[in-house]
Amino acid sequence: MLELRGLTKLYGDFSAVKDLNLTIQENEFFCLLGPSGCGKTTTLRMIAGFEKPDEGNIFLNGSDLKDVPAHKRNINTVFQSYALFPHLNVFENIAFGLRMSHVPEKEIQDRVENMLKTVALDGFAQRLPGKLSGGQQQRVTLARALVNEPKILLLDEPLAALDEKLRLQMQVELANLQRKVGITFIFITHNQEEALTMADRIAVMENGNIIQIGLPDDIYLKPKSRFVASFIGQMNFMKLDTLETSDEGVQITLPDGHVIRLDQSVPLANPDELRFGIRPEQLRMSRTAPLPSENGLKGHILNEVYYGDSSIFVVQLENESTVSVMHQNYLPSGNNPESFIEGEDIFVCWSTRAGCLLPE
Amino acid sequence: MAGTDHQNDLAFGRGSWVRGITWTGLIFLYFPIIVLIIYSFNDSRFTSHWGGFSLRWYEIMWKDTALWSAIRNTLIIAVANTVLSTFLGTLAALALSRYRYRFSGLYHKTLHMPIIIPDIVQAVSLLMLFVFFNFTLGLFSIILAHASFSISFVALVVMARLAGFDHRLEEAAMDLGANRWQVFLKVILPNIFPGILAGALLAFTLSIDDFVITFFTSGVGSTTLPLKIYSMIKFGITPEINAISTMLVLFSIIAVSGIHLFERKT
Repeated sequence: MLELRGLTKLYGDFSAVKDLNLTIQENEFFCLLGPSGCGKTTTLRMIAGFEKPDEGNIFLNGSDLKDVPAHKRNINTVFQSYALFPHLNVFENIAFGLRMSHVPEKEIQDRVENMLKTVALDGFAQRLPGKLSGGQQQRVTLARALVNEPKILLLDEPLAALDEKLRLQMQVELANLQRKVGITFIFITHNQEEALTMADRIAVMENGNIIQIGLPDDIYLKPKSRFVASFIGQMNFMKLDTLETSDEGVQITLPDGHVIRLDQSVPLANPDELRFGIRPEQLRMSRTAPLPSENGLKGHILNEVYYGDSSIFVVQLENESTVSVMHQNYLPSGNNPESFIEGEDIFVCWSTRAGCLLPE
Repeated sequence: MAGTDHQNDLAFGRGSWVRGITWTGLIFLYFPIIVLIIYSFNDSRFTSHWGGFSLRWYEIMWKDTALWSAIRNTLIIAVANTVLSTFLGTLAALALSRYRYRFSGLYHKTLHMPIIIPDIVQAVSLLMLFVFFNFTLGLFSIILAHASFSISFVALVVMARLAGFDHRLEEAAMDLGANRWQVFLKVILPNIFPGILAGALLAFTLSIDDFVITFFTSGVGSTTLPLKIYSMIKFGITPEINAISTMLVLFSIIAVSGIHLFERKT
């Protein structure tokens, strides 16, 4: 178990991390997510021991790491830049940590070979890192860290340099590997998709602190702030006029007088300080009136942004505000009579169970 | 680099002018050396006319004990200078490129001084220094004099190599359990070794080659090869000098080829 207590790091007047508290459980795949400059890398570097916190403490299984230098911490890092030793071949790169801790030669041989199999690089032992592709180098870095059987593995945006296809493949491999080796992974990224696909829990960081922590679907579906909502995916926001609690949930009156339902229990608050938020894929367009279990607002299509598998339609509602609606491209685009076209009047519908209320 | 060796169809560097200039340059550089080598096999006593093929000057050179003692002195000085200046120059490079401290900018600039200051000024100042301290002129004074300028060359070459060194490798090594000393031995040193080797070779060559500074700081019995050749020329140029020079050229070619082979291996 790793505990961060009141962790603070200052660079001159700028506080990169301020009063950060976090507990990470054993065998957890934990993700620190945030935009660049939010302090996630600094946090990671303090855990690794490359930076000293100005205030606060880091406890690993109860013992303070304050006076433990980086090379004596049972924590290994997978670097964004890979940082493979260019003068050593793949085998020696992986064996480096074991040699430093004087593991017997026979055991080094076995462990490195096992690790090469785990990351599917058997046969590459004698290659120099410069002769490997980006994905292979990535796997060597992983193997070099994992072979030491650390208590915690820190991963600093390890997939950022890979191309899209390889990244998707590595996301699955990493998640599987973590389950197989049973080591705590702390993964930092600015890529929301990576966080959502791999992590057991996600902490979203902004300006040196954690603003929300939770399961991936909680973070996605119930963001605590507009920052979290728009950092992870897209979200449409609507102003509220009044808010009434009913048996199933709440009734919201929009400023133009339309009433929508949200079948969730919501803590009461002043409607002026709240926004109704709903994701583009939770909305659908319809030429017919909404179903009884749905909310519906009239509008007309302003334009379509084509993504191949889906399109985002920008729809102007009667109250002049616009919403983005995701539409699966079930039909090939072109002259299908069923296709939605720009300028068309439609209903925007969504389930009364979808959406959330979040602070202004 | 994949892009840099790409040939385009713009015909740059393929005109007859460019060829002409290139050949003129090559002839200017190598023709005198070729003539020198050919005349080392000249049977005549004089270098001005050809008297038939002979190896007699090589024989005379082989038996010239004064010449061999000069070669021995040159090698002792070169080896000692190489060891001393490579060690100190590498330390200087590490200190200057890794740390920022008071006057580190000034120290960096002073490194360039021995390269900028004319040899003759350095030679005179070193001679005055040795005389001031009553230091006996001989092999040891020459070694110190050579090291005084070789250190700069070594340090600059090693610093250039260090500039390309990825400092994240140090963090990676520490992360994997290496202490500072192990980081240096296992990661920094192997990566800057080609730079250190290049610096050492430079120090060795500069030392073998040096005339002006050696001339001023040498004493009785410490004649080096360049000084010996200079004194021989004063008694008239014989093909023996051509023979010595030919051997030096041969030695250089072998040394350079050796380095190329080594570089290809690493």
